[in-house]
Amino acid sequence: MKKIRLILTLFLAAFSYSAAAENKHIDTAMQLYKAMQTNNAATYAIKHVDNIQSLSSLDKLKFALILNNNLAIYKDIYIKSLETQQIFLKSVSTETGPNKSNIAALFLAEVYLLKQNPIAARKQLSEFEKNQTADKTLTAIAGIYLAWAEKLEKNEQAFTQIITSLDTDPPLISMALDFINIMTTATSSLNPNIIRAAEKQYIGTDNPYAIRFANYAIRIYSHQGKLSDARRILLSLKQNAPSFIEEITQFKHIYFYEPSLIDSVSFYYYQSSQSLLTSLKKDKKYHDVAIYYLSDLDLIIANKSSAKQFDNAMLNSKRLPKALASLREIRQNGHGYLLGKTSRAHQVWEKAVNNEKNNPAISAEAILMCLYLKANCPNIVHKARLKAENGRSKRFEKLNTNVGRYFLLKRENNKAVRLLENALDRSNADGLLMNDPILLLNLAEIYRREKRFSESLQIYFSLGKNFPILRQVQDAVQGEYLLKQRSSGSNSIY
Amino acid sequence: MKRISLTAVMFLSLWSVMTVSATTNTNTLIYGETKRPDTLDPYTSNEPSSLRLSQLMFNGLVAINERQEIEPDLASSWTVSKNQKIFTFQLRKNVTWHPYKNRREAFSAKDVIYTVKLLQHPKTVSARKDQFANIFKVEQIDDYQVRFTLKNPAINPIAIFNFKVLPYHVLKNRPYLNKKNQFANHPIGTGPYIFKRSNTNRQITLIANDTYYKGKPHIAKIILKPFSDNNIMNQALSFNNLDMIVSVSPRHLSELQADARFTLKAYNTLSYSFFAYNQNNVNLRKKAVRKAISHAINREEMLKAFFNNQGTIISGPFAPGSWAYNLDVLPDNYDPQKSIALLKSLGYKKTTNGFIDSTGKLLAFRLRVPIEKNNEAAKRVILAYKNFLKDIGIRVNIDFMEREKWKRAIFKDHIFDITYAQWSFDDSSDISTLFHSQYNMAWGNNFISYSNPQVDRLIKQSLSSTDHQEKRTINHRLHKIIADEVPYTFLWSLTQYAAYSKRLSNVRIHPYQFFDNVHLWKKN
Repeated sequence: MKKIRLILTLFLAAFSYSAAAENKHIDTAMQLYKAMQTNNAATYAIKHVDNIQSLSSLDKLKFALILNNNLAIYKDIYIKSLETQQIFLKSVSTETGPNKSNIAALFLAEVYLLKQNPIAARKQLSEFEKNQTADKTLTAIAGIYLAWAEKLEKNEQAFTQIITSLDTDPPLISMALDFINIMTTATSSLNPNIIRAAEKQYIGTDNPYAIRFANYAIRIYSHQGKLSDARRILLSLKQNAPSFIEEITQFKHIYFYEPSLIDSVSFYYYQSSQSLLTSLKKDKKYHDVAIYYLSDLDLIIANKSSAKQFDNAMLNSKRLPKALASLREIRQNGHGYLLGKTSRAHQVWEKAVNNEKNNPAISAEAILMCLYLKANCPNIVHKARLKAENGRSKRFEKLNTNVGRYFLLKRENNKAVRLLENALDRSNADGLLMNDPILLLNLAEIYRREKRFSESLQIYFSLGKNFPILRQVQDAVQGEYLLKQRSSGSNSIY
Repeated sequence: MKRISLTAVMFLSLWSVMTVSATTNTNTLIYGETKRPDTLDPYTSNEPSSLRLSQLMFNGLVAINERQEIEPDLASSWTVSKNQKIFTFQLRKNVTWHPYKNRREAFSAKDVIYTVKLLQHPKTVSARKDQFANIFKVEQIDDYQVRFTLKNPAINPIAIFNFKVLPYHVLKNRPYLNKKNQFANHPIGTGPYIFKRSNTNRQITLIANDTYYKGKPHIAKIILKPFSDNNIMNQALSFNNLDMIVSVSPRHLSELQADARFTLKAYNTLSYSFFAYNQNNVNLRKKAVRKAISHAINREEMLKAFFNNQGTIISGPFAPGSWAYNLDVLPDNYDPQKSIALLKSLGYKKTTNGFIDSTGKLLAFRLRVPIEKNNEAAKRVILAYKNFLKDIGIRVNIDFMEREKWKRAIFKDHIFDITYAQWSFDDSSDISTLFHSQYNMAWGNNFISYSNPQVDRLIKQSLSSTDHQEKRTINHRLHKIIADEVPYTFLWSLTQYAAYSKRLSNVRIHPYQFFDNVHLWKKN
């Protein structure tokens, strides 16, 4: 990964000869980025750069690179959060007795909705209804989630019936409704002034729904292109704060989190980077590089709607630095894959892996496409795996990581753990965090699956210093660990 | 001249490693430890090296594997009453004890009963007695059936039955167990390996138990070889004079990761280092003094300089890999000015020699630590600590002690002001014996005499709770209180790595007991 970041630096340097005065904040952000503190880099740049139009083209590119990388990491955190939250909330929601949670079913329903499973969500919502919580806001949210489930099942009539019966007077409820519209139809119609007017009720206060408000606000503002509004909310957001704390007894408090918050923040990164790169595209010198990174954005989120546009655009993007040019065809076929040209994509990726002799980055890129697009690539992965396992130098870290991630996705845990451990550099004097955050995330996840909880949590603990939003994953894994550990209380001193 | 002497000593030590030890090309597994346990039975020693040995020689009624699964061990099956308090175990009939006076006795219910009675005896000295505290009674139904009644239901009640079973026929004339029992130096178990001998180099040799109930182990002999120097141990591995190192020092990680002959495996992460403060000391009894000391220590700098940054700074009594770690509690920051202000606020006066109390006596403490010959990292930590405290005007007198004397001074007699050590926990992350006032006794784990009624109450509540989320909330609260009280300066948690030759196969490492299914390990 270090190597890749070095290549990136050299590549950026190639552009710098004619750059306008560089923004010192972008320089600082780049320093953080090179030190693997991607999220701190993104946060720093977002905080300190008020007007992106004032940036030089090179700075726009640097800023966009940081955001793209953070987007990819947040997307991965989101997947981890959905999985761990589901396990944890399931265990809590099935508890019985007088001290059982009344809230867990609602949060579990959200996880199911985000995973496009309306039937399971509906079941949890009816459990939540049975619990009869006195919290009116959460009850209203449950109503909206029911509408969300109807929408996912394409029951338009039932959907309309529910939403027309809702009291949308509290702005949070209108926002929740708009939020599910974005999630289901990619449309938003809420007047942003309603959100702005409500901000002081929630932001910077101890309002118990402040996180929920921030989540919806970031999503809606970003979707409507009101990035400065979204930025204002994002900068005030405490990303490790729970969405809701249920105090069941004096000694039993349960923290609940919204995985959709991760998706909302990453959506902001997506929109911001897109805005930067669209502006960069106007500079002829950077046009093709801007296309390349715009394409990167849409591959990260596997966006089908833009696939045709980028399939063509990437084909014509010839003015690329060498490091990117060698990956162009692989990526172009990523868009092709989304358009249904799957055989062709597989051929190109397989050929790339077969022909690559001394550039594992190419094989790593082909596997990355399989990961982004959730493509089934057994042949390609088989060949890439041989290269990964035989490659001992640091140049193979990304390849080991990506092949390991592929096996993680396919639930072939033994293979995944071997490859991911192979990618890990344990010897860096600056510690574990000098490894690629994506590698660490996936290693933590495979350890969790293998019930090596303490190792998983220790990685999350380190990584959580740079990515506070990981708290929701850490909390869920702690809960799962406690549930599954079987030890008797032994300790030793040395 | 000193340097030349040191080099010569190291060379001679290395030479002795290479010449004295058996070569590892036979069907023998030689593993290196930095410490050899002072006793070899499962109960009278409280060190990780002792746990590892016990795992090779003894069995429990049940086992907990590295995937947190309960497996039958000496018990082939069991039933549990509805109220989760009565456990009836069916014992295996095909288990025999290691030879004793040239005879192999059959394992039976009376061994189980006797083990519980022995460990519940008030005079038995063991840090593991707590595991037996919830057992109300144990009864023999017949030769191969025993029934346990617990005092209270608990989370994971079955887990306590992984205690190692001791032989009745060997110990029947001894009503209690302590370090002086002959058994402590010549253990007899039911496990995959039999104690053979302990030689003058403190090397321990075990041989395969050919009647082991799970099948004869593939590896014929296991040798524990203690090293006082990590560098030499690492070189012994490189020269193929060792097959395995159970705990690799951070400075050797990079070298071993790059060497294709070895597998580097991370395992236990539930351990941490600390400086502990004896509450019997009139100055250390004051929370603000302990707080001042904690703010005077630059832990980040020490972790980076001495451990290659291969760990994480912690804020309280749990390791960050634990389910109980409270993520909202942050470590005390390095702030010597705050330390000085805290001491001044207590009425201590700063002089050119350091702080003095109201009687004019210098604020000075005795730091007692075991001699770990050439354990450079530990020595550096201790010296850095002394210097950090000197910087704020506290004097520290370091008292290096022979390990056994140190244990006696700390655990039995509680004669110390400050000590430096590491705790290692199993997955239960149970800190009750460290901080509950009930364990403030000779050979108890609460050797600092810490006493806080609120902490005592919470510990009891945590132990008796059968609600997982409640247990977590209570432990998060314990973390917060103990972090604020600073009975220890909590330092860092380092991941443990084992390194072993690729000639070994089928290796599974248990995160706490280390040797797991060792009878299936092979050496090519």
